[in-house]
Formats: sequence, C-alpha cells, structure tokens
Amino acid sequence: MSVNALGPYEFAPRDAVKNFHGNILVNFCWDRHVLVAAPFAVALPPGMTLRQAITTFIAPSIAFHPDAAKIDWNTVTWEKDHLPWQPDIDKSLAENKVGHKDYLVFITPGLNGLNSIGL
Amino acid sequence: MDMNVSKKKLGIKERYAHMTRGLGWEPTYQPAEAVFPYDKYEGIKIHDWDKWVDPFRLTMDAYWKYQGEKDRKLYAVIEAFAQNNGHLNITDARYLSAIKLFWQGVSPLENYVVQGFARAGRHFRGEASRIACQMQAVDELRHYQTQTHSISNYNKYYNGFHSQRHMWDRVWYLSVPKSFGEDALSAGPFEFLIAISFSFEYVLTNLLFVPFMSGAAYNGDMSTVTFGFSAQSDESRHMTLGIEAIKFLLEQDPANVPIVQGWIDKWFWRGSKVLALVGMMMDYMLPKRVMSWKEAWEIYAEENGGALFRDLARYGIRPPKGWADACEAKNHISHQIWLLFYEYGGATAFHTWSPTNEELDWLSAKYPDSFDKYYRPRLEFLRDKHARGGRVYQTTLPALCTTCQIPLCFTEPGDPTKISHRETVHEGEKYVFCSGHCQEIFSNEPEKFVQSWLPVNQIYQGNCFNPDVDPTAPDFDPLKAVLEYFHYNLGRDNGDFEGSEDQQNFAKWRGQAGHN
Amino acid sequence: MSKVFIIVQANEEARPIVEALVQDNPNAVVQESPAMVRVEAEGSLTLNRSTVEALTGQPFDIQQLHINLISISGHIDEEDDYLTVAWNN
Repeated sequence: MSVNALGPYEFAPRDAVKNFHGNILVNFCWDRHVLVAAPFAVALPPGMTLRQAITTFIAPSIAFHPDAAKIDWNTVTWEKDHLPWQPDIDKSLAENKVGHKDYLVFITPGLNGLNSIGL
Repeated sequence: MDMNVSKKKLGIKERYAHMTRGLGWEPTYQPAEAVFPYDKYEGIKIHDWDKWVDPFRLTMDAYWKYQGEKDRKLYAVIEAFAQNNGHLNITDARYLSAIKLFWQGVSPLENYVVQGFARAGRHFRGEASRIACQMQAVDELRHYQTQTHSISNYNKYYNGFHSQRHMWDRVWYLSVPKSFGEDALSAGPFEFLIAISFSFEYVLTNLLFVPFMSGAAYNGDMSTVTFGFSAQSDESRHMTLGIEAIKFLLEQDPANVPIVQGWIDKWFWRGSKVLALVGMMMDYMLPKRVMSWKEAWEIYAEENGGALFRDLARYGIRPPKGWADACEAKNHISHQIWLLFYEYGGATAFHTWSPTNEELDWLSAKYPDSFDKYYRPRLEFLRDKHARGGRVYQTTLPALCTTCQIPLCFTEPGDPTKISHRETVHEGEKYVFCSGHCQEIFSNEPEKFVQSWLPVNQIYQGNCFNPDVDPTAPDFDPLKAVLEYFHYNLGRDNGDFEGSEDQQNFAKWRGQAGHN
Repeated sequence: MSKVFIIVQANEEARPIVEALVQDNPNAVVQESPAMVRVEAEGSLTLNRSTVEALTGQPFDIQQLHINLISISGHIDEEDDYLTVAWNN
C-alpha cells in the first residue's frame, strides 16, 4: 500500500547510510536481559571489527548488569534480523556482512538474568 | 402603533437548526472542487452533509457563554493558587515530574490539534461540521493557553519548565507525541477527524484527563486539576463529536467502512503507545495514587471502549487490530517505560528516582500478575546500586521504532523478558519497529514514515549540536553537546530527584511556610 | 447491556446534578474520587431539568451541565427538558 495523496508524494529516506558520515547504524540487543531497558543503536565504521564494537560500545553500556562480567564473547550466539547468524567477531562489520540498521541480538547461554528469569 | 408580538422561545433543536444550517453558499467565482480540494481524495463519500448533528446541539452563542463562565472559574483558581503559594501544598516535589512531562509533551499537542481542526473546519463542506471544528479549534487553543498560564507558576520555582517550544522540536522523548501529532496533521481532514476526535478523544483521552487529573487533586495540585477538568469538560463534547463523526461517516456510504476501519486500527495503536507515557505518570510519578494505569485501562479502555465497539458492530466495524495486544500490555507498559526513563535519566528534563518500599508494595498489590516477578527485582536492584553510589545513567543511545519513535523497551505479548522488534526492508532501506502493529502502519504508508525524524539517528548524523560546537575538539563530549542543544540546564533539569535542586528548594520553602 | 456514565466535578454546582441523576435513575451507582464524582448505570442515564430545578429552587438549563462536566459515555439525546446517554446494545 502507499500514501493516499493528491499529487506526487516522494521523499528520500531520512536515514540513508550516506547521511552517517561513513558510519553504519547497528542495533544491539542482549537477549533476555531486560534490566538493560532497551537495545542500543550505535554508529560504527564498517571497517571496525565486531569485537572492537563490543568492547568499545556494548560492554561498557551493559556493565551494570551482574551477568555482564561473565559473558564469554567467544561463545555468544547471535541473531541478525531474527535469523541465526554466525559472525567471526574478529572480522570487520563489513566482512561479517553487517548492514546499515541491522538488528543484532546476542544470546548468552547459561547467563539467565536477575533471578534467572531473563531480567 | 407598535404591536406586542409574543415570541415563543425556540427549543434547543430548532435553535441548533437555525444556527448551523443554511449558512453556506454555492461558490460561483470558482468551482466548488477548487474551493474544497481536500475532502474527496481520501475516498470518503459524503452524500448529505446536513446529516451531521452535534448531539449536544451547542450553538455559538451558548458556546461563548459557557466557555466564558468556565474560564472565569478557572482563572480565579489559578490566581488564588499563585497568591497563596499553592505550589507548596503539593504532596512532594517528585510529583512535578508528571507536570513537567505533561507540559513538555502534552500541551504542545493541544496546539497541534488547534491547527488540525482549523484546517478540517476550512475543508469540510457541511456548515454544521465546520462549526463543530471551529469550536474544537478554539477549545484546544484555550487548553494550550490555560495550561501555559497555570503551569507558568511552577516555572517560577522549579526546573524543567523553561524551554517548552524549543524542546518540543528537539528532545528525544518528545518526538513521540510530536510525530503522533504531525502524522495526524499531515493526513487528510477525514483521517485527522478519526485520529483525533474518535480514536484519541473518544477511546483514549479519558485515560489522560480523568484518573490523572483526579490524581493531581489527590496530590494537592489545585491548579492542574482545575485546568485539567476545565479542559475535560470540552473534551467530553469532543468525544461526543467523535462518536457522532464516526456514525456520520459510516452511515453516509458503505464504501467508507473499510477506510474508517483502517484509520481506527492505525490511530488506536498509535494513541495507546503515546499513552504509555501517561501510564508511567500515574503509576510512578504521583506520590499519592488514585488508581493504577491497569485499573484506568480496564475502566476507560476495556469497559467503555468495549461498549463502543459493540455498538459500532452494526456498521461492520470491529475493535481495532491492536486491541488484544494493547490490553495485554496494561500489565507491563508503565513499568517498562519508567525503567527506560530511569536508566536514561541523565537525558530527561524531568527527574526520576527509585520508588519507596510503600510504593513498591502498592504496585505489587495493583499488578499481582507482573510486578513482583518482572519489575520489582529490577527496581530494587537499581535502587541498591544507587545506594552503593552507582546510580545507573545509560549513555549509549537506544534503538527507536520508526513509527511510534519510542525506544524498543516493550516486550513480546505474553513474553515479558523478550524485547519485541520487527524489521522491514522498503526500497532497499531497512526500518526497525517495536511491534508488528507499528510495522504494519509503516507498510501501509511507507512514503510517509521513511521521513521519520528519529532523534537518535539525527544525533548520529550530527544534526543535534549547537552551531558553535567543534566535534573534533579533544574534549568533545557528544552527549553533553546534545543536551545543551536541547537547552537543558545540566545538573538541574535532569538526573535523579535525590539531591536535586527541586528537592532541596521544595524542602526549604516548605520549611519556611510554617515559621519565619 | 453496556455501562454508561456521567462524570462531574465534585462541587456545589454539580451536586444537584448528581442528586437528580440518583433520584431519577434507580440503578445509578455513584463513585466518588478526589475532585470528581462518577455516576454510572447499565444501559442509560437521564438527567431531568425539572428534578434539578426542584432540588435547587432555581431555573436550570440542561446545557449548564457543560460547566462542570468531566466526561460522558454513550450516545446523547439532548432536549430542553432532559439529557439521556445510552448505548444501543
């Protein structure tokens, strides 16, 4: 479906990648750890490794969660846009085919949140 | 010789007919289609505008009379409130966070609705509908003005009230009501009517003005309860018009039914998301609470909205698509939104805090199915952390829903630990959503929502800094620069209530109220 | 049947309105909250001008309800002598 309008109704997407000064926007959600109230959106250079992105932006942002210190990033499992995904976290975002506005979920088996119920 | 003619006073229905019918004319300089260019393209078919009837049959003369009386009463109260330091009679300065959020996020919406009804009144062809829209535009202007006058008294003493017009166009959480309002304003006049008069005013506005304003009274805020109820007396007319408008559209042509249904689906969902903010105000920001968000939802949405949709079933209208999910969310949204704002409390122009034990117990009692299991442990953890000197202030920006613009803090229906998210690719560009309903709203009008001004994304694009900042400077602090762009007084408007200037001043002034 | 309601401010002007509603609608239930009074009933509620006038000894225009009205639910039928709210289900 499309907008009902009297005349031509065409606008460029406001968040096209060209507006991000060489970065891409990537969303990160820690699965079943809702003490972290919302997933993060981070602007990252595509040449940055996934590990660097985690170390620089994600790990400090979730550090207040008591499970955070126990995460072994080498055994974390991932989803990208709802589908299982197996990145090499020492390769760049571009090499891992992380695209602009992708939604990444990291799952930490064995770490079950506050009270072990996903908080 | 003069004759005495005994004039029979006109009845209410005759008066209404005289004051709303036969006032228009057929244009001759221009074709009617050129004078009224916007009332056909949405696909709504109107065969007889005279079937539009205001059930209250309010005419302009009576309107001015009663509105004048309401304003005189209201301004007497506001003046007495100001002269008697009424602000010191509220239960606790924490309460003011609710009024700040109302002032920052709800009052400007009233101003948008002024514009919307002025425009709808211009573009509908029927005189009675034009008069109704004109009255509502004036009403909404009155609401914006009376809220400005009432709340300006708080601005003299407390932080966070100072830059409403500036903040509205910039601050991250205000983009939620702002984008809601602009979505409605940029729709056709009939969609605007269904969005605001019906879906918002009829189905949802009671949740904002009835229990919340009663809560204001309970917390000693005479000023807010007075403008709130004075506004609500107008709203009850608007609600009546909302139901009348929808019956009018549905009865005019069967082809209108599916169009109207689509608008109800869209606007009920959009409204329920905006009102998540009100849920938080009721459950967390009122030191004394009249009823929980869940109870208010059950009375005013489920019971009253349920009666309404049973009534509309005869036209082929069903309850909105998001109805079941919005009802399920009554156990969760106020808590999820509060926790979000608490964690991002360094970036809000109102204060957040940890609820007291009594408040936690109240929430436990009101939310037996969700609070103790899912929310109390989080609130207690954050409170303990704060007590140990580690108040959590999240500084990494959250992912926003492209449609409702709320950070993705809501969970899947029936699964309160699973953050809900959806993605759509449209013309090669990816878009993220908080729910299937917001995703569907996008998919119905992608050309509109690709323009969403999402604050987080705008910050990353570098569009939210003051012109004189240098992002390449070694000591550049992007978050601080953004908050300055928002016109926050850092350390006074934002952060925890504990230790805030508002807390200290309120305690000091209240102490002075009892002795010299 | 569905519930209808009329909510008015808790003040002296609205008190005879509440009393008239209770007098003329035997199934009406009154709920008081801070600063407001909610009168609800299954099916319908009618406010009669004559009842208010008998209670106050003053003329009453049905539209005076607007001054202290907070909210109302149901279809409205308003005449010079009465106002009724009802659902058609």
